[in-house]
Parts: sequence; structure tokens; C-alpha cells
Amino acid sequence: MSMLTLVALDVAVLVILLMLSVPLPYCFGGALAFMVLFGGASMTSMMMWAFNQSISLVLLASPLFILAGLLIAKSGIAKHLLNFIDVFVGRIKGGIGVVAIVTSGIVGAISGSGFTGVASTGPILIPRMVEQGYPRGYATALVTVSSVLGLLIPPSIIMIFYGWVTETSILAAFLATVGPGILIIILFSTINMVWTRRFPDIRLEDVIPDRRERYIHNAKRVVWALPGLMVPVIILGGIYGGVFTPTEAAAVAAIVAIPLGILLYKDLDKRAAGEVVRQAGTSIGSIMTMIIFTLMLSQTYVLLQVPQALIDILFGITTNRLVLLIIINLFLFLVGMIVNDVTGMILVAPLLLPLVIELGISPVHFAAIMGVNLAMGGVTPPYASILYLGMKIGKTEFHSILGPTLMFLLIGYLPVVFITTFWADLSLFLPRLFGLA
Amino acid sequence: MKSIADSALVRTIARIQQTVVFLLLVIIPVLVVIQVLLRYVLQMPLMGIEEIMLFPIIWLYLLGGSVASYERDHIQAGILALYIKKPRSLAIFYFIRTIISTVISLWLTYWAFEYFMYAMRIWKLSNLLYLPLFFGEAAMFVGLLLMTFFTIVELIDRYNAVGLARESNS
Repeated sequence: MSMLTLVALDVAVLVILLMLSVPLPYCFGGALAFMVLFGGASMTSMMMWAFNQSISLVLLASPLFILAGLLIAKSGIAKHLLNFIDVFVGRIKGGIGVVAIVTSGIVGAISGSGFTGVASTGPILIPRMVEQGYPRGYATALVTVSSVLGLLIPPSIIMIFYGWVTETSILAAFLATVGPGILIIILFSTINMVWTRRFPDIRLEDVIPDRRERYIHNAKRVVWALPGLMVPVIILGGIYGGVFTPTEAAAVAAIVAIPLGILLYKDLDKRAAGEVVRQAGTSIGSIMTMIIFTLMLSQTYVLLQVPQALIDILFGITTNRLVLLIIINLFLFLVGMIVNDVTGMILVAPLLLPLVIELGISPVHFAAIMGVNLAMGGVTPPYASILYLGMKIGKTEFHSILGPTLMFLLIGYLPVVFITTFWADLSLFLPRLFGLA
Repeated sequence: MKSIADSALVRTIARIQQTVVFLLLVIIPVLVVIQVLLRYVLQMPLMGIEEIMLFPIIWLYLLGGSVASYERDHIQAGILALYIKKPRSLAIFYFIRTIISTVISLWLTYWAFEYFMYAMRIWKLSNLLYLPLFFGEAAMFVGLLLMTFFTIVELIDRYNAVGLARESNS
């Protein structure tokens, strides 16, 4: 059996296991078993390799950001951030949509994941938007697709994995997705403002008639939000000021979220904090075991020289850079639809990096290309974990959320994917500014 | 019918590992923050803390995975189950799925055991503090063994569910 047939069959095994709802660690474990049994990979050396990779302190950033994200989602920080942004745009028709989008970006700057955005802002914003006259499906779709920003605004868990598996500077990878992230904020906000005109029943919250009272009300909102706003400042300032590593920043975020939630915002008590830590343990275990087997599978592909074979095949089809980049984007889009962002990153980044380097694309630029593609996977079925969570929080059905989600993705997100791919400066401007690319 | 997952033995094992995972998840960020404080506030970084950390890290991952197996909370990507409407067909579907999971888990546990034996034989020490890495490497086997145990518990439950669905049909 040729190596490519073997890999094709292995991918088929993986897809079948995924379709059968086999838990993800076993899906990758099954695909790994296939490669060991038929490809001759050594399992003992794989185990040893996986152990050495798993104990990396760089990798530890991911579970710590999961913990931080869950604590932040329950701490009440998001509520005060929402109130803060509402002061500036809340009086404009459609302004609450902008509040959702910008807050997702700021929450992303604390948590590093897409789930935190929807889990922390969704329960507050979706009912508030519905109360103001927005269709439930639209409100849920907006909050859900916006939470993808958590994967693009640094620190980002998927960028930690990208930097780790490709040995690229994580700090540069973080900065590479900032430009695309800001562009998405602008496009989503514009689409929201235009689309909101279609909803005639929207009514804004009553204005406080007395000007002095209104100022005091708004000033209180700003003051209450300040500690929450300081968290991303501490995290990003710490990382780029050279004080923290991303792992340390994640630990600091987790530790800081507890007193903020318990003592200041009072949305969290000791029992709830304990429950969050317990939940985080399960989530971390579920994700990290999956990652360990994904790492092993990815390593078998690398050992069998699949990346080199991919280069040969694709260059055999065409040498046109534009066509190849479109093929890579389509491939990443499909990967994002089938597996989650982190596994997609670990599995695919080492395979594609040699190819894109041949195409003259820098690893930092490719970080942004992979980031925007795989982040979209969280809201594109069948594997659309962020979308499903949004539907659960927004208490809405798939058919209600599908239309607006597609609209945001097609008009707002997809153009950014292509701009990111074909305009390198969008991703490389900030890393260059910091001397990292 | 009472689920086997509710039996005293299963619950005790699960409770112990849940407690350990909880403690590890408290200890790890605290250790990381202490290291930051020692480095920047007291200007005296603690040598070797990274080596000490590898033990709680790997146990957190693998025991956490086992907790997820107990709570049946591993991430799944399948959509086929959404299209199966008949309760008995769904019960059979989940039973088959869990058989596959069990077989894969057993295979992985076998190799983790091989690695466990290898690690015990080699008895590698860490570079700085000369700590025996075996105590970290053992987590691979123990974690996978527990994952397999809870997957088998689920398999028994799924088998019983098929029987229950058949009875309710007839």
C-alpha cells in the first residue's frame, strides 16, 4: 500500500469515527491505531514523544486559559464590560449589536477562546436584544459569530498551539491575527447597523431624563468596568512587556478573575468558584487527552513524510500561487468543519507549513491564515461547537440562527479570510512593528 | 434500572480522581504565579520549579481525561445521532459507538502499559533536580486505564439501555 493511500484511508477512518460520535480522543486514537498497524509507526516511541511534548510549559497556557475563561465567564466581568460599551453606542439603533461585537473582542483579550465570549455575553445580551425587539435568531447569531473574535484577539489558544507545533514565535502569531480581528469587528458592526434597519420593532431603552443623573449613571458604569478592562491590559501588557510568558499570563488571568468575581463584582461565590474549577478540570482533561492523541497522529504523518508528499501532489496539479492559496483555504475551511480549532491546528499546521514556505509565505503570515480559517470552523456545521453553545444559550433552533449566521459569515467573515490570505501586510504589520517578523 | 455508574465502587474512584484533579488545578496556577512573583517582585527565581511542575501537569491532563470519561463529557463531533429518531435504534447506535471506543481505549492502554514498563526499566531522571520521571510517565498508563474502566462502565450501561429499549418496544 502506498503511503498516500494509507493516509487517505486513515483520514477516512478518522471521518467515520467522527461521524459515529465516537469521543474525539478515541477518534484520533483510532486513526493512530490504523497508522501503527498498517503504517508501521512505533507506538512506544510515540508514547515517549507525546509525554515529552505534553509536559511543555508552553502547552500549559492552553488549560490555564480554559480555566481563566470559565472563571471570567462566571465572574461578572462581561456584564460590566457590556454596560461600559453601552454608554458609548447604546443610544444608537443597532448599537447593542456593536456592544456584543466589541465586548466579544475584549473578552477575547482576556480568555483566548471562543467559548468564553458566547458563554459570558450570551446570557446577558441575547435576552436584552430580544427585549429591544431583535429576532432571537439574529441576536443569537450575532453574539455567537462575534465570539469567534476570542480566537483572533490575543492571547489566543489556537495561536499558542500554532507557535508550539511550528516553532514560530507565539508572540508574533498572537499579533498576526489582530489585523484580521479588527477588520472583522468593523465589518460585523457595519453589517449589523445596516441589517438592523430591517427590524422595525426595535426600541431603545428609556433615556434617563435628568442630564446630571444620566451622567452619574454612565460614570458609574465606566468606573465599574475599569477593573475588568485592566485585566486584558495586565495580560497583554505583561506578555508584550516581557514580564510574563503566555502561560504565566494565563495563570495570572485565572487567579485575578477569582477576587474580581467574588469580592468586586460578586457574581461568583466560593462554592460557584469551586464548581467552575471542577468543570474546568473535566474540560481540560477532555481537551488535553484529545490533544495528546492528535499530537501522536500528527507526528506519524510527519514521520511518514506526508508534508513532502503534499507539496509534490499540489505542485504537480499547479504551481500557480493564487490557485494553491485558494486550495489551502478551502482545505482549512473543510478541516474546520470537521474537527475543532485546536485539533485542526495541531494536525494540519505541521503538514502545510513546508508547502506555504515553498510558496514564499512566512510562518507568521500563515499563522493568521490558519487562525481565521480554523476560527470560522467553530460556527460552521457539522462540527460547530461555538454555534451549538450559542443556540443553547440563546434558546433558539438551528433554522432560526442559520440565515443570520450565514449572512455574517459570507458578507463579513469570508472577505476577511481572503484579505488575510492575499494581503500579508494586514497580518505582518504588527509583528514587524514589534520586531517579531 | 440503576446505572452501573452509580455503584459505590465507581463513584468512589470517580470522587477520588475528581478531588485530585481539583487540587492539581488549584496548585498549578498558584505555582506559576508564585514563580512570577519570585522572579519580578523578590528578584529570586526558584530554580527547578518547571521540573516539579511537569508532574502535576501530566497527571492533570490524564486524570482530567478520565474524569471526562466518567462524566461522559468528552467532545464528540458526530451528527448521525441527530437523524436517528427511534429510541431502540439510538440505543443500538450508542452501544456500537461505545464498543468502538472501548476497543480503541483498550489498545491505547496496552501501549501505555508497555510504555509504563519501559519507563520503570529505564528510570530516567530529570536534568536539574534528578527527579524520577517515572512518576510523571506513569500518568499515561494510569489515566488511560481509568479512561478504559469508565468506558467499559458506559458500555455496560449502553448494553442495558438496548435491552430496556427492546422491552419498551415489545
